[in-house]
Amino acid sequence: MDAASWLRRWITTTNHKDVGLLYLFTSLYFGMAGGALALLMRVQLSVPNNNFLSALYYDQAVTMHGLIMILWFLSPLAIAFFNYLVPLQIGAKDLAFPRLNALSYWLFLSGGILAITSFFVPGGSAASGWTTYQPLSSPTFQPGPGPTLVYVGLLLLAVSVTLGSVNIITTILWMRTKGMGFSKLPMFTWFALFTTGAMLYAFPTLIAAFVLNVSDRLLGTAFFTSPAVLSIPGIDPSILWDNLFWFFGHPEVYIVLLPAFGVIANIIPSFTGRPLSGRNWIIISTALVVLPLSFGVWMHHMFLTGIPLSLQESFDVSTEAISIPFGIIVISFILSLVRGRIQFKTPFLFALGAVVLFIIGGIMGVFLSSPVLDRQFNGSYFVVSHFHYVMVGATIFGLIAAIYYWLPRMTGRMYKESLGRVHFVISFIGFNVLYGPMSLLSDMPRRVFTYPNTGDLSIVNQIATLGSFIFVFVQVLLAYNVVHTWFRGPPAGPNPWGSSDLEWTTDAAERTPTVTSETPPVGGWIGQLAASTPAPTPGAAQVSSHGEFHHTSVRPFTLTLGITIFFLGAPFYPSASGLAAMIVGAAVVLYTMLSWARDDLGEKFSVPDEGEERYPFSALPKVKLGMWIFLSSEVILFGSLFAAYLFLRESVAGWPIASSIHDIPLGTANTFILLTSGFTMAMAVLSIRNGKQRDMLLWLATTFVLGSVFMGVKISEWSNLASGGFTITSSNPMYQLAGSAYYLLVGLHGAHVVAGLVIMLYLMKKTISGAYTKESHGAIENFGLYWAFVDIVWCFIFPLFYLL
Amino acid sequence: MRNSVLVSVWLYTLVAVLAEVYTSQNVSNGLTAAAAIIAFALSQAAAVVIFYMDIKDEPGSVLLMVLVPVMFLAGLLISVVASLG
Repeated sequence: MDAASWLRRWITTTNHKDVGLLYLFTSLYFGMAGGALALLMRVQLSVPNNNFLSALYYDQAVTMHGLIMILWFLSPLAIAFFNYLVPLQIGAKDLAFPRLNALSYWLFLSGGILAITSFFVPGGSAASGWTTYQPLSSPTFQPGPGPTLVYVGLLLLAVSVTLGSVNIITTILWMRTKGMGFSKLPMFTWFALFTTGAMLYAFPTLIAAFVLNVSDRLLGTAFFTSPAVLSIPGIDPSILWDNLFWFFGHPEVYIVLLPAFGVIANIIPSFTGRPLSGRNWIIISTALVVLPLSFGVWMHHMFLTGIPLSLQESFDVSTEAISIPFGIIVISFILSLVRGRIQFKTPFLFALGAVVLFIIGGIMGVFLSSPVLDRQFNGSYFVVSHFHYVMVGATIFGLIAAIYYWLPRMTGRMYKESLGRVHFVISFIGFNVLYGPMSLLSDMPRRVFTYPNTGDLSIVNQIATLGSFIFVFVQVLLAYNVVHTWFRGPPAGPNPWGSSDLEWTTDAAERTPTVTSETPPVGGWIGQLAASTPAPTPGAAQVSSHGEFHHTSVRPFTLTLGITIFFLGAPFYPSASGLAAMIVGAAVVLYTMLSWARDDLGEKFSVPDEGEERYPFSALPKVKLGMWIFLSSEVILFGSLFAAYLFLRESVAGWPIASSIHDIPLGTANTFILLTSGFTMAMAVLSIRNGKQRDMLLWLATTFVLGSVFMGVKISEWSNLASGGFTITSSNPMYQLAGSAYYLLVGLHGAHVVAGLVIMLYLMKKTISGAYTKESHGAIENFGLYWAFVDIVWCFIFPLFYLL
Repeated sequence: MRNSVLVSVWLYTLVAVLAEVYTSQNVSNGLTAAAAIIAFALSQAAAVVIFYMDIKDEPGSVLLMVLVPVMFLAGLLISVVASLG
């Protein structure tokens, strides 16, 4: 395989295994970057009054270490396994939407590139902590293009994760092979479902938060630190940020942790020779954690912000409550061990280590649920110790267990067991030497770049620094073991762990012929990774001899390339280079979208529906299910922005009276137009259901006209408002604030309308070519859902902004 | 689904808009007006979900999928406003 073919292969692949490998190696790269930043911090803290790093560089290291490790390493590492394993475990040939999957990966990479690039621009990277608290992350305190690149990168990452969640949930719900009911679903897939469920509802809030943040930085809105707005008595937008961030941030803890628990639950039976004890209890407990509880504890991060005592008490109780299902899960794990005949292989050792570390970190967390103790511990290294035990210890140990466990599945070869055990022992020791002493530092403030030479701060920090070097550098053993296994490992056999899960028992024919210790590398080391799946042929989906789909598309890559170029330029606007980058990026995006549409019109990329176990969604087509799932995340996105609007509005007296700003009759008429377009779209759907293609086209065209008129009126309305002084830069601080909320929310809704208009053009073109019939018109049904949702959002925007 | 049902829903959404406008301009008690207007908006949204999006004909699990984020959202809205004290 020559270099060009190699590059084309990885840029155009949409195969779930390939994308899984891309996620795996990219997230490991980001893990190394985050780990390097951690070492810099530990060197700085190894002695008192150190000046190895300046305060600013230390703050940047702290910030980017946290963001990279949580969002570009731990979660994507889990997504790598979701990609690779979930289709295999449920007997599907790929994920539900392969191009969307590739797009999710490229957006994830793009966000990471933007974030890392921030180190190399004037002023450096973000230095506001991973929580990006306001006003610290505002342009006032974090000026320059670097932080903007980081926050835009976070925005892209959040979009990537949301799209990925839709894909994986749809796959699990709709593409299970015959007989793969929920009662037989492998535990790792169960946890993939729970994790992506939490992602689906948590990440839109992060998108909303960073839409506000980036809008302040790039568009000049006044949500957080406009001096005029901050002069308004009673306003404290930092509390708004805390609410939005932690509504995402606390579920994110479980999003990071649950995949590791899925690994543990999946592999315990392989090494104990017995089924998992309390399997149903584990599933029920995890469902409890994900659905009601993880989204009901976020305010325990805000005990010190002055929120009312009654709220503190409520969130104290909910936080303690969440320890109950986790207790059940851990007890089930322990019972499984007690009843089994344990084989202390490397994956099992790491899984056991993860459980032990989680118990330690979890118990520390229970203390933090108390508002009283939280006042003592908050902002200290006790908290650092707690969340590293949970998020790093339990998660990394669990995911390393996954690497060792499924490496034979990915390569067909067996790793060095003795080296794996040494890796575990030194990792476990290094981790505890690093984070154990930190739990003693409840009087040392975190996020501060140095400390005085008092008490035993120095010796404890030195022990922690020693542990950090042990823990980081011992990972070289993992890297060596993986690489050695891939090229030189002995054949593993089709099912080395004796597992009954489907990923070990399907398509063995694919691996076995390639599994010999003599197999030469193909096109370099990563070329050999490619050999784990046969090279795809460009064009339409093909089915290989072992029943796996292969398909390629360069569009996800080029679309992301355009987006990346655009956002690399945006922070430098209005400089000529910034503007040029934005124009080039926008052109690439536009070209790709047209090409994408052309591909679909020519049906160049199609994936047959598959899967037989679809309960409880048997009656629903795949794309329609995906649309419902996507729209449920949109509910959270718009709802979070409505929450922000209500917070700002309720926090100040004297909010501008709507009728003094807006033309109510015009707004009412425009509302009529949009609601009527909702009706005409419903008629279009009804027409095609009855087989009336011509009627459908007419109704669709009417919807397009009405939507266009709505946008035209909206633009003229904005023009009138701006000329009347209702702008985001108005000298009236109330107008600044109200204007920021109005233009952003109505603008986001408008963007959805414009996207809908573009899609309608595509649908009309396909309708004219006779693509939709009574029997086959899924795209019209799905667009009908989208357009109705756009209507619903306006049903709330109109009264909130124009009437109340 | 019949045409007459869709026409009825459309007319209802328009009437609800008029009712919202009327309430905002004629009900002097701000809280009552706000509650009434939000109720109208919720009823419009429900009508669109039930009839335009046809959720009544979808599996119950789809309804659950819609209600879960709405439930989270309600919690977020209430808590965010409550955090003002």
